[in-house]
Amino acid sequence: MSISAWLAALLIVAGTGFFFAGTMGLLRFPDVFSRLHALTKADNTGLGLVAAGVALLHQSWRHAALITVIWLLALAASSIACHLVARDALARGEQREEKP
Amino acid sequence: MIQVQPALGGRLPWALAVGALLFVLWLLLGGGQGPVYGLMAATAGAGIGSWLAPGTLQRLRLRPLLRFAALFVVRSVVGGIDISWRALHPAMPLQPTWIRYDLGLQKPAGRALFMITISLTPGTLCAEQQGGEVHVHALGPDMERGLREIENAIAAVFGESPRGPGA
Repeated sequence: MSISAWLAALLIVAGTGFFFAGTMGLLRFPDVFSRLHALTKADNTGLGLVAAGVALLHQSWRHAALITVIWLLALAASSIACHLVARDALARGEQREEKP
Repeated sequence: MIQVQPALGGRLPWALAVGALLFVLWLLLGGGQGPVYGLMAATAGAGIGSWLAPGTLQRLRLRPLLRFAALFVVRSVVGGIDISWRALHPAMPLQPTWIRYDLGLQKPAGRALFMITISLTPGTLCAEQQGGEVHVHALGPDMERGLREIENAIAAVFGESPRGPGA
């Protein structure tokens, strides 16, 4: 394997680690807002690393640009969805949920 | 203080910008195939877009934009590590607090960018916006400094003064 392939593998594995941690947060955190933190931030970083790794594997500017566009769209979507869920939870007076 | 008004008004500049963006996207997706069809589709998209939902072009400053992008990437990684640490730590160190943050940014585009950004950066989450006030959920104390840093970076991109209206 070439150096760039190793680097890509490293990025992708690190990215999945963030997805794992984000999911752990989603399951473990006690209330809606904290869970949202876990989802948006860990997935942002995880997706960014996976995207960088895949772009590196492809070795093409066009794919790198497309992957960047996808990453930015996913970021905007996740952040706005997070904001909407948080706003709704706030309006309902959600404070703490029972931990399952 | 720079006034809140479109730097480049009118529908034509907006349509041109949207059309150019759509055409570039077409070329990216298709790998440069069928540029004529792409041009037709981009023209149609630009026309419909500026007819149904015209926006206002913002004059963005390149250097602050790059600085903001760098800040965003660094803060994203820090945010991911921070939340992962909290999620995987056996004791789950969370100290949730609410912050009422007074927003100095005036332009709607800048405000939207701020709200999107703070939900992706360490320990803060935008829950609600009422006028110039943002209701932020934070996972620990002393998060205002990070918010201010992001706000100032965005203000520079849009050519606004770092700290809100003078009046």
